[in-house]
Amino acid sequence: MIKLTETFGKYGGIWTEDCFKHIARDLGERCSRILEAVDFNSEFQVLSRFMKISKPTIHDLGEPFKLSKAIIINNQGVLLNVIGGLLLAKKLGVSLVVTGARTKEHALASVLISVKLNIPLKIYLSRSLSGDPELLNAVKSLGVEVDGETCKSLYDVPEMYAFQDWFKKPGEVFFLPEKANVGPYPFPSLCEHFYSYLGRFIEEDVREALEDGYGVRIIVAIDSGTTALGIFSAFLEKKISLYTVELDDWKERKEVLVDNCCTLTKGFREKDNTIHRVLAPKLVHLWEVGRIRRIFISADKLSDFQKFFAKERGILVGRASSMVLATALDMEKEHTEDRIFTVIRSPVVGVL
Amino acid sequence: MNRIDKLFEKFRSRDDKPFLTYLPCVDPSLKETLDLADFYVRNGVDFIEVGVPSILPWLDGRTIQSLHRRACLAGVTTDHVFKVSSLLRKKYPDLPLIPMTTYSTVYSYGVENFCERCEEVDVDAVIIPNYPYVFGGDPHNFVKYLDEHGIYFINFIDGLTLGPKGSEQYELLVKMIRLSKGFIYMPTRAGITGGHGALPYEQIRRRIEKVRKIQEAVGVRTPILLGFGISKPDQVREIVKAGADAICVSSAILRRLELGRDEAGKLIRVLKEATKIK
Repeated sequence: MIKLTETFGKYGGIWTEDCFKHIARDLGERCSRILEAVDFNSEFQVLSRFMKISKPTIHDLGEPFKLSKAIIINNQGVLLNVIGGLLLAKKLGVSLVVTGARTKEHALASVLISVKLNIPLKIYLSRSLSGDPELLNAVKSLGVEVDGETCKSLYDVPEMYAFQDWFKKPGEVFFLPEKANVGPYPFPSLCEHFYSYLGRFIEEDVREALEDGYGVRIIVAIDSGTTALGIFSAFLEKKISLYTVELDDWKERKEVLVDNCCTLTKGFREKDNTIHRVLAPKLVHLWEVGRIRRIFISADKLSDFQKFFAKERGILVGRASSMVLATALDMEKEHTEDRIFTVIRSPVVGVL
Repeated sequence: MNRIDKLFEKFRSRDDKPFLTYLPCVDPSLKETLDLADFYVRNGVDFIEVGVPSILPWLDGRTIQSLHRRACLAGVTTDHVFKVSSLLRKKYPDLPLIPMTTYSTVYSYGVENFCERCEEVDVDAVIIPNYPYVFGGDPHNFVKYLDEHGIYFINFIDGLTLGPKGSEQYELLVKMIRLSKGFIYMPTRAGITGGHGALPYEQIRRRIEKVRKIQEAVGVRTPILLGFGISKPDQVREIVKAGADAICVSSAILRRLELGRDEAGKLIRVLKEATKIK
């Protein structure tokens, strides 16, 4: 049986009331059984083809890179997660799916797939998304219930409101997490499970390098850590060095637990420009046990790299991807016999 | 003897029930908060949940969430809340005070520090609904430290805990009942604080009955307090009839406060009056 990581607390999602643990555990077991079933997998594949999810492309990076390759991932993880989550909800027989959206990709994917699967969906939009008329029109015209006001008037945490709706009626409602850093078990594990298809997509290419006798390193930039977990999940048992990279632009870094999901924060108050960055709990665990190494890159170094790449190659790469590429370039100097896989998005301008 | 036990002892010979409400700490000068506490006591509130601002109060509904947000934006900290508690303790030596928040707030403050401060300011219990004391086996020794400092940890028991006899849920329930101190907090329905609409009285009655039976079997008699979504006197009467030992009304009073103290005072008095068994 597919075993979702059943952990309550720091490594498995937020803690809830004692009373809720059985609900969560039962849901986890039911989800595991459904995920294991042949019909789930075949329907998942059909929907993935319907949504035209493509395998990430792997490119040589060209000069000045000598050892690194680029694995280009765009919105595949988002789609896999939404397809998996909504299909699961349908199999569970719930009467409503609730989700919170911070990204347009998640909002649109949720709406499209809920319409395709004929599942009622309620979506909470973040402040910035709720100001996007094109998105609002698309969501409303497809008959999805949309709440664009709550995040504007209170906390800008759409997933919390969606999660609360599940918490009120756990037997009738399914919570669709956008990332692997929200909710209690089994939600982070479910999200991680669907994102893990990213790792499976590239497993063969990475294995080839390993079989050719190279040391292999994979670098992923993190926001919530969901994509990184998805990519790394295929390689946790193998002799591959795994790295996450983050921007080191915080003067005061403090790590706390937000109801036992690790968060990094500058402070606690919005008036001080608080950043609450809640991370996927399993990622924190893998850092702590040393399986994934954590790299920080300065804003100046990042800017230098972006300028260099623009001047020399005529390519503008996004911030997260630039962090990964700059790290790979550094790594090449030390590990001259290795193969380095960088997980990036398509350049904003230009072609790699 | 803990003030909560004394309170319930005192109410045994009375025909009304203890009435709990929520005191938001939204003003760093503390004046507004202390003033509100005085107002509560004057109008018949018997014990107070002191709200500790949380950065992500996901267990609360919109009314209390907005107060957490106001507090955080105003710079109210956990220490402010301890200060309020300390001042209230001086003014009301017999009033049970119960800080309430999510566990992340306790963890960020430091579990041992939090328990020490609770003892220093002389509060009686804490309500931290998402700390997995029983199911999780007190993973951070939080309840152990609370015990060492003479502070009660209030257990939450709701409908989701009530599995059939022999089930894992049932065993959990028995354990929770055995370990309960002060009172058992029983939400009228699952979920978050506040809410509108009809309450499931028959379910509530059955739940209370089930807990009572287990209490008899294990030889404890911790009082049962009902809260969440209660806003009207007839709801209070029905819940008392169903067997509740105490009532908590928070969001409805906080909403009424927006209309003014007179209105809120009337509501508290009428709700408190409704706890009387005729």
